[in-house]
Amino acid sequence: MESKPRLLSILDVVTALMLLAATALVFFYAPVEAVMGQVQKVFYFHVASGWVGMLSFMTAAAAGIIYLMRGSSNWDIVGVAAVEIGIAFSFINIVTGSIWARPIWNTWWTWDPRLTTATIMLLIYLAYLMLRSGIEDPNRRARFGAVYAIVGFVSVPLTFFSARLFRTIHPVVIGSNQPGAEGSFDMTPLMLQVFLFSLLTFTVVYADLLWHRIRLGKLAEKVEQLKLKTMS
Amino acid sequence: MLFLLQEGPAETLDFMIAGYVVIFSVMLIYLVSLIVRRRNLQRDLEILKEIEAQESADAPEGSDRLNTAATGLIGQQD
Repeated sequence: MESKPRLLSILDVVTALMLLAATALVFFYAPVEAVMGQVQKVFYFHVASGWVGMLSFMTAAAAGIIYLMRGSSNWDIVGVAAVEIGIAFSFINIVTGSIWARPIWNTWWTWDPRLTTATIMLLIYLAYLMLRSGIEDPNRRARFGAVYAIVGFVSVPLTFFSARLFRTIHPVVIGSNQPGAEGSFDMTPLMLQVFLFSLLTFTVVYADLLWHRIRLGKLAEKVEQLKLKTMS
Repeated sequence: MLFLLQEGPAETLDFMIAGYVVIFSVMLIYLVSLIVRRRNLQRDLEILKEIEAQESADAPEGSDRLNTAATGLIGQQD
């Protein structure tokens, strides 16, 4: 059994402490927004989750490109690990957005451009995992995964810019806001501090989870190879 | 939208709690899934190693070649 790298153990502790600190900052340091009240505090982790989701899908696309260039299965493992984490955090992003929308937009869901593109992005990557699981040959599976992750990445900038390009009720907190947006607010310096710390924390959480997931992928590859060898 | 007409922040504490319950639940479920999958794979690896060791013992003529291949496979580092 392989031992856990010391650096990963340190990263685990740092991640847990940062997540604890970010949560405490959200609940006890960030001010309550004047109009929306407490629900606005969902914003800090809602945006951070969306950021991790998009960062994950970008990692998967980059891993796909490197896989196609070098052909090393390690990059396929990185790609699938990134997609899996991206799905989890994009799901958090969409569900928390829906919870935030209920008291502010007076609906759980609306087919707004941002919400629609985010949902399509999530479905594209869910399909990635489902389609991969149907391919037996590891090389073919990895090649398919690489191409899919690169092509699927088109949905990421489309989702990111949808609130800026199309008429939408989804607010754009950073940068210019849409006139029709509902639920927007001006970030105070305290809010900005908590927001930036949350983004940093979730980036560290992502790095930690990715490392663990890559280790799991390598173990799975080892077991798969040994299974094939034992059966032959 | 009526909250825009009221004085002071809207009463939305329940929604904030629901949001954070979802965030931490999903993260926890994912973490547990990683732990469970790792444990299962390690168990599979142990079983496969045992099978391989048995096969090596049953077929002594091919054991050298098999052991060399297995050592290389299992000895790969993360």
